[in-house]
Amino acid sequence: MENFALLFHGFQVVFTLQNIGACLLGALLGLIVGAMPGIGSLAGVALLLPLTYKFNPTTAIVLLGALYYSNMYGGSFSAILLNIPGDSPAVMTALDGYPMATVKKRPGQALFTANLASCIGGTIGMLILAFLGPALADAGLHFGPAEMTILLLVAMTSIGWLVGSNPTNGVVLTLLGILVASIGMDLQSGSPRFSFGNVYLLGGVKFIPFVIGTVGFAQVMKLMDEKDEKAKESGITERLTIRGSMLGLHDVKRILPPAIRSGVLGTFVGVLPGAGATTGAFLGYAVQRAFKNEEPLGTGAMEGIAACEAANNAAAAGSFAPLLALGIPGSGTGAVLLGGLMMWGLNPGPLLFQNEPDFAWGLIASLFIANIFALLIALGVIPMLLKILAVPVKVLIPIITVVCIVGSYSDTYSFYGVIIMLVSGVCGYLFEKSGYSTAPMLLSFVLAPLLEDNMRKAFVISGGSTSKVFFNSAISTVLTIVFCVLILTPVVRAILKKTGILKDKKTK
Amino acid sequence: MKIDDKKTVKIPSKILVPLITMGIGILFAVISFGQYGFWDSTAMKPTKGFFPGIISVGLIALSVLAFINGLKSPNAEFRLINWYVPAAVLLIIGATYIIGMIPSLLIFVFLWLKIYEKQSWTTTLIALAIVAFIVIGCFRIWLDIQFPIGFIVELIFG
Amino acid sequence: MKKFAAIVLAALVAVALFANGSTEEASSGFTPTKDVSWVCTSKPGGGSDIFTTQIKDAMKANGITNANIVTDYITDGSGEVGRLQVATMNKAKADYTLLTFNSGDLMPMVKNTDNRVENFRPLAIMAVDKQLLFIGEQSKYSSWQEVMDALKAGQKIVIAGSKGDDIETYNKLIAELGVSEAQLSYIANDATSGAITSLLGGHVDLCMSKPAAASQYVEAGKMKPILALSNNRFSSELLKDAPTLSEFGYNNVEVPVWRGVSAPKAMSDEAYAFWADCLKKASETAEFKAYLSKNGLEPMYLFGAEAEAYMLDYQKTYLASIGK
Repeated sequence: MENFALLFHGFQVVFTLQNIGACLLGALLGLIVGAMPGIGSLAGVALLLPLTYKFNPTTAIVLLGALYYSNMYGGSFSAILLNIPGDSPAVMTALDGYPMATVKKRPGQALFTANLASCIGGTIGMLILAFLGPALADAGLHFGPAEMTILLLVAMTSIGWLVGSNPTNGVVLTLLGILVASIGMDLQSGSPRFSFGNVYLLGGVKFIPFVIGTVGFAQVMKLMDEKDEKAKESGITERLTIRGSMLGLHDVKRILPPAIRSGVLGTFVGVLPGAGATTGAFLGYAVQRAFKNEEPLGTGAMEGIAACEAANNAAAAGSFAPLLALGIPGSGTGAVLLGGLMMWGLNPGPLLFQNEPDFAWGLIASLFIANIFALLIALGVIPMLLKILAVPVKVLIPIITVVCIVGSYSDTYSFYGVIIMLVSGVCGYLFEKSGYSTAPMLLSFVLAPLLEDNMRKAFVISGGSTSKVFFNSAISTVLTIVFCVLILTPVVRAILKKTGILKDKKTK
Repeated sequence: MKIDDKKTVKIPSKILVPLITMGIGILFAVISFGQYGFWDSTAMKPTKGFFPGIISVGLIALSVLAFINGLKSPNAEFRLINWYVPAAVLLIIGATYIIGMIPSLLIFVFLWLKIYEKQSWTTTLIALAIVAFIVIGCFRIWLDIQFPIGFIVELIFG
Repeated sequence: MKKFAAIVLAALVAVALFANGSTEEASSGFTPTKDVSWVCTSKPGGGSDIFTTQIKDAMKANGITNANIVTDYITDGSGEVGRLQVATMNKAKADYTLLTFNSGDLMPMVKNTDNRVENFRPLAIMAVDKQLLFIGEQSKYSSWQEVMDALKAGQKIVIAGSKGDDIETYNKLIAELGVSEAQLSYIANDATSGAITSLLGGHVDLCMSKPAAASQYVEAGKMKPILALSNNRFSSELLKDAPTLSEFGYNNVEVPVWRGVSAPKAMSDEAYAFWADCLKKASETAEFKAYLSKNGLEPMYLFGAEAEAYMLDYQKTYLASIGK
């Protein structure tokens, strides 16, 4: 109850005209920057940080919090409408969001689903943050390199669920993604790896241009096939109004359970050191596989969008727990945010909640308000965004091409980004055309470096002993068992099916 | 320009892709095991070749499987028209070195819409305005991204 | 059509010549007449960027130079691309190019590429940082003496730290102690915060950190310094209890982590003198001193030739230590 009073106090701090204004501004700017492919939340917060210099510390922090938070909303817009994920968690959103907007012709509802789920997930995350924050941060500390290794192994096995109709091809690209991600500077040995003597490759293949290319640019190449077909454009136009985008009671009922589940799951993932919003979104989606969906996931199911969007925003809120209570940023964005907070004389860390309650609780309260604002603004701009879909494909092609170039350039401040985008775009197109789905490759690209780094740290700590890694603590033992069950289940089921003990039940 | 850009070419990409991934797998495996080693027995820890080594062996094995599957499936059809877009990007990169990135992008949008797609002036200009707003308004002015200015401008103001 | 093109071309050449001619004139006792590009080889928001921005702001606020200085982030290839570009910058632009150059940039550069300090004109060193070893609340050991006893008894001890200079300090430490990497092991993290996380969670025994990143944990009683990796004990209240290695009968281990500024090799002598002077003036401002104390950095002011000699010497020692 004490926390409730403190949170209430936080709201009192935030509720001044100036702070609400700052919150609104932050939410709006964050949303726009988040929607621009290539900028993403890390560069977005870094680039907009100077804006906050002009305000007094509390207002500046409110602005910063709102900015960071609403950034997460923006990422899903281009993922759903153009199949270009604005940031890495949005890769998951695109899986169901883009088919729902185009194949199912329900773009408004897809955006609405993403935003409503984001809001629900975020609220759950913030409530947990407000009431359990410091305790949660301490719990997260129990996840050392060994525990993270097994957790990430569990996460990687679930990529298998994404590989689609052709498992062999899916795994080929998963492994390819891991190898591409291993190019560049190796952290543990401090030396370059697979750089082939090229200075650019020393820094590795950058994720943002890679994803803009593999998903977005490949999409543009594919659109050339459709540009002269007239039939597509009708059908969507009638739903372009806000009324056409509203969700029915039935839809809300479909969204709620996955959003709540993912909200809780995402918060806990967000608290873990270095796991981040992408892992959160990914696990949220993977868990949703185990539950009932009205339509199969991956074909434009609302449940899929809701599961990953809610988890993503909850993870963003959850990552505030270690950031504020321990001063440990969970991601690059967190690190920039930490830098911003420190510039204002606020030292996130064990002493924060004692020394600066106004700031700490004001920031948490502003997250709640930013969450609501971001939802309202997002709803307001949906009708405008939908107009993008009414633009004929012919005209859209050069515009998206320009966005791909500018977005990938902005990530590296050089043509290196554009070249990664172009090469991965052409490869992505070839892969899709040859029956290889690229989503597993993008996810392994994000998760594998985390897995490798934690695994190598775990081996150093265990002195090379494998059993000490897998049974290091109660947490790792439980996770190892989960991992074994996940790996063995399909094998056992296949054996049982072959021997005729288990009957093949048709689910479709 | 009367090129038949709707023409399709059959390319055995379903066996080419696994061949390429197999090649990448072999390259990474050779470097991992040959140069980087697998296990550092003095420090008792995996080397930087440990993880990519395991993965590349897996990639080689699965590429072989995918190759066998690919032999059975029909070839994918490719059309020239899809390749106009990457070609355009290469031209834009080239043009950027001469006249700068922002003019190159604007000229590209104009030429594509007005000359290639033969759109009306209204459509072309609206599209140009949108692109100008995104590139100049958002990225250049607001977010302060420095785009290359090309060597002509550099020669003048260098 | 051809005629027109020829006229345009001729005009362009004329303008270009004129433009070059006009800058040449101002070269006696250099004053900047164009935008200055200050290259930062890490992402916006990081330590290098903050250092760069602080100097820029200090110069602007105190009217040291009125030149418009723009930070260019060239982060490709872990910063190597930017450093190579500055090293090979042509004469026309060299007077208007600066580079943020730290020990953490020097080490990977000489280790992984052929680029050397000789390809630059070092302008200044403006701050220095040193490391300490810390224990956490859950650590098995409570003092450096206990750690050494455990090492002698053959126990395995793990240190977590950041990359770059921290790894170099660690290598010097195990060499001085004469223990193997398997016994006193090191895990590298992208940033010190990752190492602190491992220490607070009790996954490692010790953590290597610079004062700024650790101070508030020490204040909160979550971490305690047990060894100063420096020639002298630290002076601040929080850290002064940490002994140096010489107090245990070993040589001290100190790898100074400095922050500095460099210029292209092709920069003219006039411009070089001008910028060294600007940086010197900036280091004397109240703004810059506040930045140092806020980030727990110690002042270390070397300008012009002194900075160059220091960086060359640092490079020589480092190259010898990695056997290159």
